[in-house]
Amino acid sequence: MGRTTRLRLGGFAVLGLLLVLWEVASRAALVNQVYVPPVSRIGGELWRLLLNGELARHLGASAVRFGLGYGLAVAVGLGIGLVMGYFRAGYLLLEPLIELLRPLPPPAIIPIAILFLGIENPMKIFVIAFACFFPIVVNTIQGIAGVDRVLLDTARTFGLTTREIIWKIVLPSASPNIVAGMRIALAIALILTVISELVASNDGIGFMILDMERAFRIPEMYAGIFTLMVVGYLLNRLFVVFESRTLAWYFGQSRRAQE
Amino acid sequence: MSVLLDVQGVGKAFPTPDGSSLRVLDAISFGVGEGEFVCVVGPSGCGKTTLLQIIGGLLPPTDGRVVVGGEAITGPQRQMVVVFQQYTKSLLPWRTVEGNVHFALENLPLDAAERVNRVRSNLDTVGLTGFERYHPYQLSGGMQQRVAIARALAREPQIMLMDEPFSSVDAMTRQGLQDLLLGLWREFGKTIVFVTHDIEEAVYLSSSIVLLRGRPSHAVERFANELPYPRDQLATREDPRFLRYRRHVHELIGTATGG
Ligand SMILES: Nc1ncnc2c1ncn2[C@@H]1O[C@H](COP(=O)(O)OP(=O)(O)O)[C@@H](O)[C@H]1O
Ligand SMILES: [Mg+2]
Repeated sequence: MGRTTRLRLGGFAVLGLLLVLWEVASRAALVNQVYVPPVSRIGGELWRLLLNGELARHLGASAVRFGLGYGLAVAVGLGIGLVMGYFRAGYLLLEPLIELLRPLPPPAIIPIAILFLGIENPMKIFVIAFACFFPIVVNTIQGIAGVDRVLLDTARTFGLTTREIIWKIVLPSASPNIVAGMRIALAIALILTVISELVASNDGIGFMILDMERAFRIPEMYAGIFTLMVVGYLLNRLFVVFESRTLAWYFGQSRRAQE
Repeated sequence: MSVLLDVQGVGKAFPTPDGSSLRVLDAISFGVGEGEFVCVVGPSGCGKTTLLQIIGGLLPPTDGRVVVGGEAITGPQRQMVVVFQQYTKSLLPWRTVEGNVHFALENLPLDAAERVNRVRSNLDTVGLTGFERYHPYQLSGGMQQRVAIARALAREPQIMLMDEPFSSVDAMTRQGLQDLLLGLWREFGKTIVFVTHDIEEAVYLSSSIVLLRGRPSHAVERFANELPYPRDQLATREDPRFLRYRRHVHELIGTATGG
């Protein structure tokens, strides 16, 4: 077994040990058992919520918001990023607006969003999309700025139209940056999903955590938090797979360049 | 021999950072007959790339014009294709070898089978059969440039414009590519305009030589290269006429650059 594998297993051991310590400390009443219930109890509650469908209901509600908000941000962010990155006029016209909106911490727009969109899904989807939009736009612009002159000239000597140049040269060439922006946005989408559900909701995983805390059902609250951790972890893993599929050429090239 | 491509009084000035303008090319005129292999020779930085891009319709001239088949061009022409100096940047890194050749055919009115056919036969022509599924980064420099040549050939252009295509490969590979190109030229009867700073390369390849010198560059001389085809890396380079041409070009260009 290689050193890396041993250390990696060690990493899981550290995690396991911590959970065991938690369990022991809680059971031995070294910490307040009410605030820090034993892991086994949290696990039990998690299992119960899983079986009775409550967790699925909340997760489903969150997933819809997350998916629509993130999807909207990718579509609009890519479109605007393309207009700003490829067309000089587009950049000059939109840059001041984008640069002014970008520093705004996204939760700050929630009150306005509530004013115009209410407290249901449209508001939440908008807030998620708003927050995810910026990293995607900025990275798309940056990726397009990096498209090599020679590649564009190659397309021109073959007589490609602007539309063809965008689809066949500009977007693939900028894809490493675009995907990097999408990865940043993924984490942001999760954050804003939870925040929007904490502010105003009657379902969703963020709501569930808050609701359980208010009802003083502390183990269930932890169960919600554990669920979020696992969901975040899985989303990231899924994205890594997506990334290595779409950018195989890019990683291959980078590896070769380092040799 | 009828003139297929006519460069008429072409000049080019670029704006400089200090607001004035830098004149790179001045009143360059020469004609290229159908089936000729014209080498344009000049020292580095004399404006060869600029000239080739103007001929290829990728860059508008400041004055003069380029006439192809009797008409002044205003942009890239269907019957011409440019092969760039930086082959590493001119290939689409996210496409395979065959994908790169296919790229050049996608906007031509061909059916799918014909495209596949052309990809296969042109890769065969440049000796890359068996590498269809490789990505550019998995190939040597010489092989990458052969992909670029196959891609240009696949469009079946009348005129190939080549910008120092072999300048960044090692000497042995370069000789192989030179002979490959000569073979293609003789087999397919293309018209080639090939710019290079390498005097021996120009004498070895060309049927006719145009010399650029001065600041701004102008065409000082044009002469037919009487060396017989087929050429041979050893015999041709030892031919007294080869040495005479080489000296002649050296002297003319050397006086202008002061070295
Ligand atoms: N787009 C440009 N803007 C300003 N100057 C340029 C541009 N392209 C080329 N030049 C200048 O024109 C001169 C000739 O360049 P180039 O055509 O690349 O020469 P060569 O290919 O013979 O080495 C150089 O001095 C270069 O700095
Ligand atoms: Mg050059």
